[in-house]
Amino acid sequence: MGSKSATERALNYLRRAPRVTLTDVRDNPGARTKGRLVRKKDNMAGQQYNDLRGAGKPPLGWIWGDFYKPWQRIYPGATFFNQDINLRREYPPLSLLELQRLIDLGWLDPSLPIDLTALCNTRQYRCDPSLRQFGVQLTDEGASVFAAKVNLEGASVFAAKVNLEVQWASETAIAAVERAGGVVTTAYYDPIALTAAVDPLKWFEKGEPIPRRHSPPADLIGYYTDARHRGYLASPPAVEAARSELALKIGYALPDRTDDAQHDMLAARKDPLQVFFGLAPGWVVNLADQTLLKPKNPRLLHYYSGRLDASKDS
Amino acid sequence: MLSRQLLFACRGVQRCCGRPISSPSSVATFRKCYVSSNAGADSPSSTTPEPVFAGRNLWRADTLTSFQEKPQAWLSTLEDKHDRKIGLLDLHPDVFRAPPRLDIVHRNIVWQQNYRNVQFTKTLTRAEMPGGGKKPWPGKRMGRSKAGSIRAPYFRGGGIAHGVRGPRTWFYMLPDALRLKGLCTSLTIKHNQDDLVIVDSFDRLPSPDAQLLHDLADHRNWGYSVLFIDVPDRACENLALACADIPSFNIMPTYGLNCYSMHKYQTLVMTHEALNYLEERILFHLHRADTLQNKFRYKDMKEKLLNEGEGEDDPVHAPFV
Repeated sequence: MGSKSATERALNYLRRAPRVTLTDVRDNPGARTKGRLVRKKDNMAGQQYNDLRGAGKPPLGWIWGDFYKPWQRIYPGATFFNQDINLRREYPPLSLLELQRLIDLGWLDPSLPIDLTALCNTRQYRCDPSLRQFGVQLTDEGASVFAAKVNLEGASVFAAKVNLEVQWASETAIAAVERAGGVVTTAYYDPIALTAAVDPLKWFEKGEPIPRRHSPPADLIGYYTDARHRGYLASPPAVEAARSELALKIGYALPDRTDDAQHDMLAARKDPLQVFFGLAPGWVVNLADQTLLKPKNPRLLHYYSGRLDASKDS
Repeated sequence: MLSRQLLFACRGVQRCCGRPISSPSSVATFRKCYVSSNAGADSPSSTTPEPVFAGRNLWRADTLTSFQEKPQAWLSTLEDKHDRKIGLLDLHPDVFRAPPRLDIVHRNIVWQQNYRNVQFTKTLTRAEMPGGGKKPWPGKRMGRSKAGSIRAPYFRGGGIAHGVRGPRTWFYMLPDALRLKGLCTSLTIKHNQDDLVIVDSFDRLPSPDAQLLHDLADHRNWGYSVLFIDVPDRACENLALACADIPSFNIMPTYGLNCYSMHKYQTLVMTHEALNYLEERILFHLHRADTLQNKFRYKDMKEKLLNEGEGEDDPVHAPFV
């Protein structure tokens, strides 16, 4: 039966075979192998105090010559290669195709805002702050299919209208989302806030207060204040203007936003200090007792409010 | 209010929440699949139930490819010794038509047999035995073999050289994914070899007579050993009394289902409720977002294990754990 799958052929065989009992099950051939046994020749072979064992060894970068002249000392000018490797930022990519797939298969709910936390909770996307990864980078692969209607469960869900919050987005990706009626915002998360956002359960179990987000560093301020990147620090009128400009530039018609059911969801934005929707920085989430603990001390309130004035008691 | 706020924050994060629960529409469809639609069949009334021929809602398996056979099973009843079919049920292919991985079943069975082993015995070495510090007789002139200690292994009553050493356990946990696949494979094999029987409910058994159960099994061509599976761990009275007289007929709750029992017993008899419950739970764990590779640390389970017999305060009998 060559046209049937292996499973079907195996089950057809089993159907005609006698009942499978406890003694009929065994490992596949080659599943268990005996380890290599230690043989007499595997010991030191009489080399415990060999001349070469005790001798000086060549340094790293040795290129056949003097032990004092490895490559990095012969060519000292080459010390700047990748010198800033530990300072570079990474943004693990998420294509529109992947995003569409996650929505279609039910991993993400498009009727709620989709931010980094929602993506990491699906466990299908991973962002590790300890590896200098700073968040989601939206790429435009799959832009042509992004407006497709979902019809998996028999209900038609518009996957297109999403409220996305990412950390980096290309122009074409922003265009694809906005063309379909959705909203994109780029927002910066500093490493500590990112650690909380990426695994909220682990953070809440630690019992630490929700951190406040700090402003972006100097080289990123320009990116997040720019309306063309839909930065969270850009002014809303500038973002509106950039939206129209992008539609003209690429050449699509902006959909009208008259759907009231989705309007509140699409208008939801986080405060620049906020890490989670519905929760403010400084609060402690007590999962065991299902309560929230809010700070009262004026110094704490001042810190978590993000005000820059010196007086802490106002 | 708290739960709504936390919903935004840890959407899908709780360990019990996986992909099916993250989206409200897919929650409804997942749960809807496993609410028992055979109210007539399960009600313990004496009237004959309506035949059930409506298809079950199988989660994300409605449109099967033409390359895979659709697994189906008869729904019968224990009311009478003659086999009367009251329905035809569709089974989920991920559970009942899974690839028959006998090697995974083997790993499950070996694990079940070994992970509970605890060895309490210990043999003493020559160092641990009493005495034996002094050289018993000089090496020369005696005409006897050389001896350094009366507790050497070659001595009668001496220590054991490579003996069994102290309390030891063969505990290990098989990964969750393998245990799930083992259950699916065993259920597939049982169904494929016509050893899986689905009945509406066990409380339809008319009397606690063991002979009735024997006749019933003969008429339906069940095997020598039968395992009855129901959801609650409190069995129906008639079935419990009948099975008490038959050593090879046993009852088990769904949480006790395991590969060893499924292959030890020749026939598996399951209620419709148990079928729904098993399919739902297995599919939930197969498709959840969390990893199926978990480290089983004693310190995570310690309190639970030590408090196992907590509620059992019989003055005479020890707690059953």
